[in-house]
Amino acid sequence: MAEELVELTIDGVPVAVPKGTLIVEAAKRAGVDIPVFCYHPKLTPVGACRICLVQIEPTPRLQAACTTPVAPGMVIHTQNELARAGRESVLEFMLANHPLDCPICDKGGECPLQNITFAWGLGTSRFREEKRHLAKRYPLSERIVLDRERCIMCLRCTRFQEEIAGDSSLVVLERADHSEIGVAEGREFDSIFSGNTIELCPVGALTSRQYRFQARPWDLDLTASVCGGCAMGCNVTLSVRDSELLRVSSRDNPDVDNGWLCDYGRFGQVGATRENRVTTPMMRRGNALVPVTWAEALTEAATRLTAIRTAYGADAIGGIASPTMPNEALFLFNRLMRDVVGTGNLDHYPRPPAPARDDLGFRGAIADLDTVEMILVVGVDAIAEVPVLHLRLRKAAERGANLVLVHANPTGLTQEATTWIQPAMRGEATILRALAAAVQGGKRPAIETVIPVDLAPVVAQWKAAEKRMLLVDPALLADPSVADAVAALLPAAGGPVVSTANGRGAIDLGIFPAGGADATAAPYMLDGSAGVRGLIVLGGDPPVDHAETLIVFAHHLTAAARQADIVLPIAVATEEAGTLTNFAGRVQRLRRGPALPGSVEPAWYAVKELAGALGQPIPVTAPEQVWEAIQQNVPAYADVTDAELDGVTPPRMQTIEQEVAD
Amino acid sequence: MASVIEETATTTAPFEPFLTASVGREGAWEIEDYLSRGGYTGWRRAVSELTPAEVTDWVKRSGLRGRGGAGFSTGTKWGFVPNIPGPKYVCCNADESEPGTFNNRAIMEWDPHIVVEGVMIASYAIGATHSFIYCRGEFGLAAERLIQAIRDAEKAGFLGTDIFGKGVDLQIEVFRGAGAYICGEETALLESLEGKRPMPRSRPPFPAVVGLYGRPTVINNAETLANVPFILKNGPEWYAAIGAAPNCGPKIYSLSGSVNRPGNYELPLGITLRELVEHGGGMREGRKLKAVIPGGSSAAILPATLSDGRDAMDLVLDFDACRAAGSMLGSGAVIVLDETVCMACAVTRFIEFYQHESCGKCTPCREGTIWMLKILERVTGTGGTDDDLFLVNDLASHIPGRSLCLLGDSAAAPVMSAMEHFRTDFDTHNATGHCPSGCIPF
Repeated sequence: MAEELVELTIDGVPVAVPKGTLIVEAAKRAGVDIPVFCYHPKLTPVGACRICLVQIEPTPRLQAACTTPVAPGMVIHTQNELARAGRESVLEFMLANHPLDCPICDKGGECPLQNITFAWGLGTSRFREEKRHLAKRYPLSERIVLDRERCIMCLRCTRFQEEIAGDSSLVVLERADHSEIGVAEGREFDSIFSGNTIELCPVGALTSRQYRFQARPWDLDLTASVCGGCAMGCNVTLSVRDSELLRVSSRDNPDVDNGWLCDYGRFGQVGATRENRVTTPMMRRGNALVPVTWAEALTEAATRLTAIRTAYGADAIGGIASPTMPNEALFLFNRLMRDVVGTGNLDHYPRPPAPARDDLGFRGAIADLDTVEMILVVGVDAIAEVPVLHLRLRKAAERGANLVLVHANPTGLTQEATTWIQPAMRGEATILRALAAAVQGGKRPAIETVIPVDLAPVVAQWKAAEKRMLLVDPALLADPSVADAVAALLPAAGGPVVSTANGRGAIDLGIFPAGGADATAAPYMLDGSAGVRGLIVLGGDPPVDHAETLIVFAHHLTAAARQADIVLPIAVATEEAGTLTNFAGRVQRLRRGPALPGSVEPAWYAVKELAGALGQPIPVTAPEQVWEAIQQNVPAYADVTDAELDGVTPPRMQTIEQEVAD
Repeated sequence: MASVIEETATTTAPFEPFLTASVGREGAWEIEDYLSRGGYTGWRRAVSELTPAEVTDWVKRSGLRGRGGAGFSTGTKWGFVPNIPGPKYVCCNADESEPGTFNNRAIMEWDPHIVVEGVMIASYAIGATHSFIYCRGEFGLAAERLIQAIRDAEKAGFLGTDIFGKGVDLQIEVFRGAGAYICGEETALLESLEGKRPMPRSRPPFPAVVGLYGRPTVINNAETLANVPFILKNGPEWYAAIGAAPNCGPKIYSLSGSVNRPGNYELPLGITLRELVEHGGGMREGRKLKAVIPGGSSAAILPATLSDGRDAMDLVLDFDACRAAGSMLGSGAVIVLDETVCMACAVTRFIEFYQHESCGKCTPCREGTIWMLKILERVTGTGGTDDDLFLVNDLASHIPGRSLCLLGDSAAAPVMSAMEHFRTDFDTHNATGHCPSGCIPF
């Protein structure tokens, strides 16, 4: 269906936009800059701040560009005397009671109010009265501080919580010039998406307690990267000052995160670069781990591994990688174990109990959620596992998609779901089998649910829906009958939602025991039953019960590292260069933000060094070379382009110029 | 007030008041009393004899214009409601809060059935089956009487399902506000009805298309709707003959200020201020007129001598004449100010009201009202400067047309008109630091 276009002119520039487009968006197409504060393309327009007033011929009364849709033949002026006077007066009113404490304001330097005043303001003030006094440094939550004097009542934060996060925790209190943002009575501002309000705030009213007074924006080095917190793969901007990571903020990618981050991703990675880090190689001397050089550690590791291989064979050595490691590290780890050590004892931990089947891979993309008619979510608690996916599912439900949730317990989506089927404990498998059988037209097995449920309507809706998506907990696929059921449902888009940051990458790169042998899966290597004497752990913190020689590549001093004979320090996600694959199979680029502390090395480099110490150097000098090798060896990754790897938004300060609609 | 109204009825020979005819009469609010006066005849005729489109057409032809302030044709407004399936709503705006206005309250307390019947007919005309009367929070008695009227109408079969056996369903609910002036603004009223913070919505879309709960909605003032039963009962031609077209029908003027008998006066649209003041017993203590506000405090203040040189006493009190004179009929709250009034102090009091009632949503109104108030408090307190006066006038001129709703415009109108016509009062404050009328600064 062709979109109906409306032609109009803005400041003499002719432009054609789809019917229903707001003037403020049409102006972007025409290359005309209309300042905004309250308007945000992803929030309902409210027309509160009035800075976007424009003149539409022939009416002299100015109109808000953010709430007025285009009409055919409109002639709009943003720069004539009427529009200019209107804008200046609104800005004058806005600044009347705004404290000019820019020198100590976190927002100063990336502040829309500063920028718009600089561009459009009068430069002088006629306000001689005493400014309004409201609470400053008001703690809205453990993460966010509110300065009520700086607030310009744009209502972005309240709208975000109501419309996007869906919890209405922030409200306007009082009225007139004493209006203020606050937490709704009887509520707490404990949303795990709360950090987005800091970025949305067009002034320094909402600030991060973590980042407060840490830097001036112009002192920050900005790096485009990807969040290594979970399998969503939200695009992020890393803000680094003096080699230290101070802030993680969003980097809108409509195919992935829609511009939102969860608070774990936003706040959780900042302190992680500092506390409890392993910053130097270590070796066990008696009961203690003592710092050594890389050369000493690698030589010792190689000597001990060679001794085990000589005495007991290569299969006495095993390797366990964390599914949070970048693809580059996993790829080289695979080479290290299979080619250099010469064993198939390789796995990742934690992982879903069964190796992936080819017919169970994820089909389609996250963005398909914006268009599908029906979404079946089985056993996935998105808000707990891949939080930003929860926002996408909410949005789909708001749009009117039929969201059917199968989960034994209430989840964050229970309220949004069209239907919630609550099976008995661990009964999701039964429901899946029943659904698949019914969809295939077979006889339905008996099912047991907490609340009796008739699956017939869901089956009918599933059959009738043209575009549908299935999101399923990969742990359920351990049961072959469930795997068959899911495979039967999967002409639809979707698939298993692997929740670990690069769990999908670990599967794609084949970090599994040789031949899918269950006897040497990670749990059996860890408890000693697989006959492994020398264990190499790459990242993560698997529970090691038994290993004669334990070599751990660690970023933090984990329980596994404390048990180790040799510890090799590696980078965390924000320090890595490489790639991560999200649950939907999208490969995205990690870039190093802060400097590597101490003698920490990137994981791919550390793994390569161990191979070298074992006498078989892998000839790569940069993660990009490893990526090229991955592309040659992993068919699924062969066609990934640089554009996909990098996302769509450059790293950015927290201003509003780049805010884009979906 | 009751005695005043009764007297009104006797002093207008050719015109018989019908909206306020029962105001002041004990028991007039009972349904038996209303039925004995021919009550619900209009409702029965609408449902039994006319199609919804015909009802709308009758109201259009009657020339009835909205009594809430805008003076827009009521029938035309109903005609904007799209004929689509699904819920539609009528909301009666009985959040009467405009300073100087007290006509809705009088009819709702004494004769609530005329409002209820008006809501019924409007609901039938647009196809609403569930309608609301948004009653100002402070009007306890009015709400009580309306609720009783609705209950009695239900018992009598005028509300409910299959009314008059014609398959028409309707229920009406009274919703009590919490006392914020902004709730009289129609979209803020809708937000409040929905249980939200009452902040005006931006338009378009207009409530006729996207209103209460996102559905087509008609919002009419209680006085407007009170006229409707009589139009249905007596016919549009009878109604259009009252007043002088295009200002048809009676208006309940709420007369206050320096007159001997302030009160509600129901008179045909088109009388002059002089006639109204005579109804009100003339100017208090025989003082001279200094200024008049013809439509509540949101209307621009007019001086005793109009811009065209006429005596303001000759001002015709209808929608079009007031607009032509540079003000508006608004809610019909005529505030008469005599020569002893200091306009600087009066306007400061008005701005204090608007500042207090600004909802805080849009920048020009939230910030403009407090800024103007702070300057005016200084001027009327210890005295200000010429710059202050220039600035306050300039600020006032920056609000109209730039705020989200008309509250901002309303706050600016008295300031700008007072500065234009009564500058000397401000100058005296500045020069002497005292009020020329001896007002005590607040």
